[in-house]
This record gives sequence, C-alpha cells and structure tokens, in this order.
Amino acid sequence: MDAFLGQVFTGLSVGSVLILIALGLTFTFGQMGVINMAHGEFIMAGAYTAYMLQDLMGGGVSLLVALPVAFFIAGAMGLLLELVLIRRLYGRPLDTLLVTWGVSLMLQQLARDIFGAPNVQVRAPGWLGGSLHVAGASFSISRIFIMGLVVVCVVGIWLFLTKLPQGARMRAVMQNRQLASCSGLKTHSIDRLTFFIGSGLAGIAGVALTLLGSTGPTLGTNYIVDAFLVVVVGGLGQLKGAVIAAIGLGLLNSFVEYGTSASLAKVVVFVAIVGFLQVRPQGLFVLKSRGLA
Amino acid sequence: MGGGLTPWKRRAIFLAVGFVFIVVAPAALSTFRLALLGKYLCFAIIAVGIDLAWGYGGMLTIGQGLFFGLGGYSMGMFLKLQEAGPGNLPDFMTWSGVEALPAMWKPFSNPVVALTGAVLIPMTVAAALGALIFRRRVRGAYFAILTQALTLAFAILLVGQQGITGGTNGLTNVTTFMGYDLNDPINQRSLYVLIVLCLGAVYLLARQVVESRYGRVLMAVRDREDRVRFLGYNPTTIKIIAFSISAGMAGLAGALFVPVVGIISPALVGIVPSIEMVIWVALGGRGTLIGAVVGALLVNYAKTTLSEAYPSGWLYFQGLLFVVVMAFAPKGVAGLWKMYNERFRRPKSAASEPVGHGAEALDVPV
Amino acid sequence: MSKGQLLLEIRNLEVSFDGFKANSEVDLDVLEGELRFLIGPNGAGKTTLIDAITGLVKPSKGTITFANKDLLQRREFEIVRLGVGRTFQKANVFEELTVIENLDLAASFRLTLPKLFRRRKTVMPEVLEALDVVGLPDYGDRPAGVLSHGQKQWLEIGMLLVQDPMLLLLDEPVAGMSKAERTKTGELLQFIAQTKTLMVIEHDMDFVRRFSKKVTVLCEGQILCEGPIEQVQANPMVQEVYLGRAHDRRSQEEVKA
Repeated sequence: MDAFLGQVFTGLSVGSVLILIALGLTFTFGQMGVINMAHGEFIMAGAYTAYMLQDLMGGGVSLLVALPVAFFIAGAMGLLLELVLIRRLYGRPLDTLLVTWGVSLMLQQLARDIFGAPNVQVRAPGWLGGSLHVAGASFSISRIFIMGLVVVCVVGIWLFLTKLPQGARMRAVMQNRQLASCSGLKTHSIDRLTFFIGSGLAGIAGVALTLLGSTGPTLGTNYIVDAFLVVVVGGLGQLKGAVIAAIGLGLLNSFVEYGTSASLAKVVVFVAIVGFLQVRPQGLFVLKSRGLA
Repeated sequence: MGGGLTPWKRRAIFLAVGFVFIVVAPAALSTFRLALLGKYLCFAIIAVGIDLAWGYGGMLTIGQGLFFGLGGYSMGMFLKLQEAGPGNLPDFMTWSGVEALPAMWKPFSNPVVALTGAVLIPMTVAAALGALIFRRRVRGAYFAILTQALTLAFAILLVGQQGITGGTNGLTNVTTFMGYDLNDPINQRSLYVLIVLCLGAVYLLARQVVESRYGRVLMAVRDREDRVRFLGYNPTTIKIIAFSISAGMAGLAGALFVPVVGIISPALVGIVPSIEMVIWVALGGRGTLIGAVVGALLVNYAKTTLSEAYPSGWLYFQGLLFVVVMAFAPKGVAGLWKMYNERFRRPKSAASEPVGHGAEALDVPV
Repeated sequence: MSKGQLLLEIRNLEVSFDGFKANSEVDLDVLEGELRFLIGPNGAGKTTLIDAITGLVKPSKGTITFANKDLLQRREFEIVRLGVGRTFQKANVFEELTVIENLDLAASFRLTLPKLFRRRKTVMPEVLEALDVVGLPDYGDRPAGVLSHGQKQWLEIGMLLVQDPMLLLLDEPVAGMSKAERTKTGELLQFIAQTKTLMVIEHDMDFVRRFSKKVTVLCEGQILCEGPIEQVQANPMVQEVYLGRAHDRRSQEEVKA
C-alpha cells in the first residue's frame, strides 16, 4: 500500500511539473499554430535563474525570489523569440518546429559556454527538506511544495482566462483568430501576451525542477517531448485537457516504471498514447466547428 | 537539377555524376576521406527518403533516426555475430555478464534475415505506426510530435537494455563484413562503390515514385487531404506507402553505415540526429529529391570541417542554419538556385542564344 | 440499373451537432436518371444532407441506402468508389496542376497500385471527353489556378464525370456565376442528366425554375414538400417559409417573381 501511495505521489509531482510546461505549449500551439521546441530552454533558463540567485543570496529565501524572477526572465526570452522570429511563421507549425529547434540548440550551447557542461546543483532550502509521514508512506516536502505551486499557477491561469478581459480576449483569438481580428481585437498584442505567460510558466517549472534533480544545458530536452505528448492528449489550447493529460501521463509513467523498467516505460507510454488516439484522435477536449477542416 | 531538362540530358547528367562518384572520387581521395564521403552518401539516402515523406507527402518525420537505427542494429547484430563465430557471444555481452544469446539476436545470424530485415523491419514499423495514426487523421504537427516521441522511446530503450543492445556504447568494433576485412583499403573502396550504387538506385526509385500518378496523388494529399478523399482515394494508404518507403530507405542507409563507420549507437539514432536529418533536406530544398542529396552532403561536410576546427562553434552554426533556412529560405538551395536562374540566367540566355535554345532555357527546373 | 428505379433511399435521417438537429425525420427517394433540385432557406440542412450521404458527417439516426448498399458504415472514399460523387460550395481544384492533370488525378482512382506507380504518358480518352463536355478543351494544359471561378466549377464537374459515378451531388454549382455561365451550367447539367442521376443544391430560384424537373424543399432540417417547381411554389407552406423570413429578401423576391 505504501509503495502504491509512493508511486501515486511521484506520478502526481512529475505530472504537475508537466502541467506547467505543457500549458505554454498548448496555448501557443492552439492560438498561433506554433510548435516551440525552444520552450525547453525556457525551463532551463528558469533552473539556472534559481542557481544564480542561490549564489547571490544564499539558500533560504532565494528559491521564493527565483519564482517570479524566473517567470519574468523566461517570459522575456519568449517575448523576444516571438518578436524576432516566430511572428513571421504563424500558422506554419512544422517550420516553427525546426526554427525553434535551431534556437534551442544555440541556447543550449550558450548555457554550456556560460555555466559549463557539467550539471549544477541547487540546494533545497532547509524548510523544504525532510518528509511527511502519512499512512506508512513518506512524502518529501519539496514535492508537496511543487504540487502546491502548480495548483496556485493553474488556478491563477484559470482565473486569468475566465475573469479578466485579457483572458477572454486570449480565448477569443484561440477559438477564431479571423473573427477576433475582425471584431477589433489587437490579435498580435494578445499573441505576445500569450507567449510571455506561456514561457514564464516554463521558467517557473524550471525552478521547480531544481528541487527534483540537477540542472544542465539539456534539462529542457528531457521534458519537452513529454510536454508535447500532453498537448496531443489534452487537446489543443485546452487548460483542462492539459491538466488531466499531464497528471495521467505522470501517473502512467510512474507506475509503468515501477512495474517494468525506466527504459521500457517510455515505449509503453507511447503505445498507450497511440491507443488513446484511436479513440480520441483530437485529444480529450476539442473546440468544435463545422465544415471541412 | 531535373525538371526542365530533356530526359536525355537528365540521364547524361545522372551518369556523369555517377561516374565522378564511382571512378573519380576513389582515385582522388584518401581512404579516410573516401570513408567520410561514403558516410555522407549513406546520409543522402536517408535524406531522399525524408524528402519523399516530407517534401512530397507533407509528413514531417522526426523518426528517421529510429528507422536508421533499426537498419543499423540489424546489420550490426549480424556483423557482431559473424565476428564472434558460431556458438560464441558478441564481445560486449560477455562484458555485461550475458550468458546465452538473447532470442532477439538469433535470427540475425542469418545474412538473408539481417539484410532484408534492415529494410523490411523499418518499413513494417512505419506502416504499422502509419496505419494507426493516419487512419485516425492524426497529421501535421501531431505526426511530427509522435514520431519524435517514438524515436526518444527507442533511444532510451537502447540505452536501458545494456545486455541486448550494448547500451550507450552501442555495437562497436565492427571490423569484418561478410568475411572481408573492413580495414583493407580495397574492401573499403568496394563498400564505397556499393553505397554509391545504392544511393543511385534509391534516387531513381524516388524519382519514379514522385513522377508517377501515385506521386501526384501523394502531393494532392499533402496539399488537400480531405479533397482527395472525395476523389475516391484512401489517403491513409497513400501516406503509409510513402512513409514506409522512406523508412525503408533510412533502414538501408543504417545497414550500409555500420560497415563504413564500424559503429551504431543510441547517440546516432535519437531525436537530435533525427531532426538534423530533416535540416539536410530543408537546406537542400524539399520537394526536389536532388536538393535532399545535395543538402545531406553539404551539411555533413560542413559539420566535419567546422566541428574539427571549432567544436562548440558548430552547434551555434547548426542552430543558425535551422533558423536561417526555415525562416528565410524555406525552399533551400534548390529554391535559391531556381530564383537565380529566373532572375539572372533567363534574360541573358534568351538574348545571347538562338531562339530555339532560349525557349528551352526558359523552362526552368522545378 | 435502369431509369426510374430507386437509386438513393433515405429513411428517418437525423444529424445532430451537440444536440442541434441539422437534419431530422428526413425521408428522401431519388430515382435513377432524375435531375433533382434541393432548395430551402439558409441553414435548412441542405449541405448537411449531402455531407451525411457522402460520409462527411455521421448521422445519429436513420438509414441511407444507395443502389441497395448501406452507406452509413462506409468511409468517404468507399462511398465515392460505390459511385457517389460530390462537389463543394467552394471550388476545390488543385491549382498548381494543369486542367488535364486534375482530370487525370480524378480518373486514376480505380487504377490498381502497380498501375498507379507508372508515369502518365498519354491522356486518357475519358479525360478528353470530359474536357469537351465541360467546355474547357482549350485549357487542358493550363494550370487550374488561372481558371475563372465558373471554369473551376466546370472543372470540378468534369472531375466528377471522369470518375463515372451513378449519382452526382452538386452543392450550389452556379453560386457566384455570371448569367451566361449559369445558362451554360444549366445546359451542362441537363446533358449530364441524360445518362446520370443528379441532385443539385441551389439558391437561385430563377435557375431552379429554368432547369428543374422535381424539387425538394428543406426547412429547418426537415423536408417540407416535394414535387414539380410550379406545384412547390404554389404550396402555402413554402411561401410561408420564404415570405415569412424578413431577412431573406432575395429569396422572397425570387419567389414572388
């Protein structure tokens, strides 16, 4: 029973980081038709931000400071990418995939040149050390912290999308770009906002990941593929879909790894996803529209 | 560059290029350089396949590393078994404490199984994957994401199953090929010629495919899949065929790559090399076939040269290559060549040559 | 099959989109050799009906039988292979291909795979014939992209003809055409109707009056009435539907005229 709880817990914590990463991807893909492979490097930027702040400020509070700072740094990087490159590639997902992959290669090399190729370690502050013991299983405080953080972020995004006018505009552009544009919405500034928020969330995810392991130039690559699978399973531009799919993927991965081995788990998860697509080829949630798509 | 030339001119150019590669190159290059060229030509075979799937079929496959790997490992397993001799285990298995030959390896001691498997296994995997995802109309970026995920899973599996696959190191120290010593320059030359012939055959096959009626349907599916469905074609079948052929080509390339380079490892088949393969085609110019070959040769030549001189510079350069090509010249070298022809050569040739030839020169390659 | 036999039989058809019924309780018979017009105000479910027949949308209830074969369990391309061809409101030709290549693409769908892998060396006789019938013989080697809107619609009809279907479903073939083009299209339809069965969605009442034999009126997803155009126009329910809708001025005037 405690082993079972342990797997659920691990799956949930990995899944919740995936949520943060996938949200940005699903919004930029759904709204602009952009596949951003450099999104992984925003995660990396967030992680290195935590690392640098730790050096500057020492442990303790640096992690809390790192969260907003990473959000803005990663967000600014996303904004810059959008302004310089991506805006000329809207609606060409396959081309953006390759362009942003190139950006991702350059950012990884840049990180290698600045921070060195070996991984660096962010020490978790004391108040995140230790574990909570419930029902015979132990739950690490830092993972609980990550889950809490993700809940806060998701609720924040949900409130933004449903309660604020900017959020309503974002949803409008996502559902029908042309109509939104004809109705007088400045679609481009909305796109930039989406990009900023989405990339910023990846930065937060990066800070969270420093609690789970070490930080290196290829940190983002390890998560980006899984995050895209979350988008595929959850449905384009779907907050709810991304949350459910990320948790599902996290849990599945955790259990299959436990039952078989880490190297087989990826194959099993892939097969499960292809199987899922047989039933719901457009993902869990779909924006419906009539006509020849 | 095909298109506008008369069939006879095209054949003449094809044979002339073949002559340069088969006769001139082995005479002019050192054994080391020739082996490098052989490696590039293997990559060119992959590129032709990618162009078929992506350039003509609109299927951006980031799974060619997987298919290349399936071909490479089939060949690698066969060569390792031959080297070990009947009843013996390949060297790395003894090191990782494996005592009996894994069942998966057994069929690959047979050369026919190994060689046909190198092509047929990738084709079958591609066809199965295609059947499952094209049928449900999963396409475009979703297809790219899925092939990428499968490639990642495959690479992770290879690393994890140390005893069966040689883990991170892969299958190394391949020194003989069908009983011939691969260090012998003569055998290396023969192998090189074999690769050139394979590339020639693959190129001709791809040309036939894209210029046939099937090729037209494939392009129609790329541009408007839903419309083609209402013309009575099953787009799933049409796409599976092209994807499967392209996987077979990557498998063949993998099988040829192993004896030339002497190694196949997860690092050669993961996501990173798979996306690199796509940029060869993008740089050369997708949808032209010849562009794919040129792109594979150019990028890999640049990679060897630049990464020898500036190891970290290459990664910046490669990243920049992706950005510049896709954002500013999505039609690649072939597109630039076409533009150059249209802008500068046309008026000149029309003015300076007799009318008949001028009119022919107007017919610019596509 | 011979003229006058039942070719298409629709019973109790219902198509719903998230609860909204685009078609309901539709019973429709089309006989071999008919030139049937399908009319009705915007949103009456005309296109949805054709979508359901050709497999683009899946009905929630009812049956569709074509030449004694159930269409509901078949996919789009299988339905085409049974002999049901359709066009779309927006012309959907392949603009980079020449007119002949477009027709050849349509004509090749019955070729076996080995034959499909051969190059096209000649022009098939049925392609030349279709080129003549739709009035584009001078455009054979021109890219379809340079054709006018009307010519593209004719090319679409030509692409249907080379496939030799039994039943042609045309979705507003004359929309956006000039007066002269409409007349030519009408004559083309009558010519085709000599050997094939057609069902045509049309908004232009003038066009319907000139070329129709039998008309089916759809309204709010259901069939309102059916019969020769004069009889349909005299039907008070039809007048109510067209006249009662203040926003549909065009149809209103056309019915009055």
